Amino acid sequence: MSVAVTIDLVDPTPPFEQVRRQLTLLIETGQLVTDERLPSVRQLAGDLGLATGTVARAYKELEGSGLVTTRRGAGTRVASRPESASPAAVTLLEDAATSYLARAAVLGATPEQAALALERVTRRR
Amino acid sequence: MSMVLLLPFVLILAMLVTVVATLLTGHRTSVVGINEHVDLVRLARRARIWLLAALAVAVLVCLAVPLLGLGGGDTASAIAPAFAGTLVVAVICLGEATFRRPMTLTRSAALHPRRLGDLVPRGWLMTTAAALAGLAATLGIGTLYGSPDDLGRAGRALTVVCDGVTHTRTPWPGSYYGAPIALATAVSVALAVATCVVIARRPSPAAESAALDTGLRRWSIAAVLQSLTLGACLTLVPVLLIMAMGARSADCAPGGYGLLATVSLIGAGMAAVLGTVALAGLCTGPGVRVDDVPPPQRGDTAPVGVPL
Repeated sequence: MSVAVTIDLVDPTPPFEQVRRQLTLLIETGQLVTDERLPSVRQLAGDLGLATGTVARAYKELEGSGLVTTRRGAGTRVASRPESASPAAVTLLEDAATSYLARAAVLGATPEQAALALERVTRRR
Repeated sequence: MSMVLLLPFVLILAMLVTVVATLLTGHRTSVVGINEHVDLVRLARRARIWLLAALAVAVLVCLAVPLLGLGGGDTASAIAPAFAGTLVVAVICLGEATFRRPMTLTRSAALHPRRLGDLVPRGWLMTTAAALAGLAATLGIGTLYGSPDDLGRAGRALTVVCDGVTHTRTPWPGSYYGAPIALATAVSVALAVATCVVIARRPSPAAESAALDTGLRRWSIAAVLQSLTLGACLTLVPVLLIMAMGARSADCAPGGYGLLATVSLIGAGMAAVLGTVALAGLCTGPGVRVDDVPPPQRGDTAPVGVPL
């Protein structure tokens, strides 16, 4: 299944913020790649059963933070990202590394052994 | 009497349509589990019922207009197929436009932009374009060769002058019939384009139903194109047969008329085959079967054994 956005109306977070937050995460984690086209405001609003203004606001905020670009006729696309990872991406990566080290500790490996295993796997790719 | 003579051909056509429809349905049925994609299954069922009802009404229109003399003249008979095609397209449009996504508390949407170009079946697009181009060419030739009949009514006869004697053959599909047919066909094409846009913009009920949803959209657009093809072919067959008879009856006419008659006959045969295939495609409908255990798909893990 392709990437998707889910909104929960029970969640006190406003729908536009839920959409913005999920799209930000998808872009930061590389699930939406640079220059990938996002659905039109009308399509996403129709599919989620929201007002077009709600989705338009989420897109506008994403554009304001430099994650997407909107051009007339070309739609909304994921903007090219700088070479260095953004602070949000660094945080996510550190979370993943913490989980990995915790799993390694359960298996009885030291952090150094875990780092060596990671290096071996990286060389194989 | 003429209906009695036509009956065996109608029965053969019905059998042919049934066989082709059965073959097509076998390949196009999607199997879903119980309580899976409920909204789309409902939409598919409703679309199938509405389409079959529209087809029944369209067949009645095509038969009733010429047999009962409805519409006030033979022009009504000429535009009846295009009108019937428009009726079927309008029903498809209504079914798609009235679909509403369920207003659940949790909703999901795939982040894949839907484009009309990705949903249009190329084969049927080419077929429909060919049928419409054939109709346009036929009406153009008919208008070009047409002349006034004995009462001076323009575009209703084929006139050939042989050794100073004027031979007039009626009916002839000249401008008298061609203009209303072209207008009715243009209306049905415009409605078909609008319907395709409505189909592409219809909301999707859930992200997990994306594959089935795309399949149903493709089927709906194919049905629109098949309706247009069927309308064009049902108009083309009698027009080309009348044209062939008119051109062949001009004994003293130049050789070009013989060629026109032969080409018209071949075209009528091709249009009949194409119309049958389009009707069969329309009769199959969106095949969505609900089963408690969907069959394994290619690439699924084996249902038995212990994973290692």
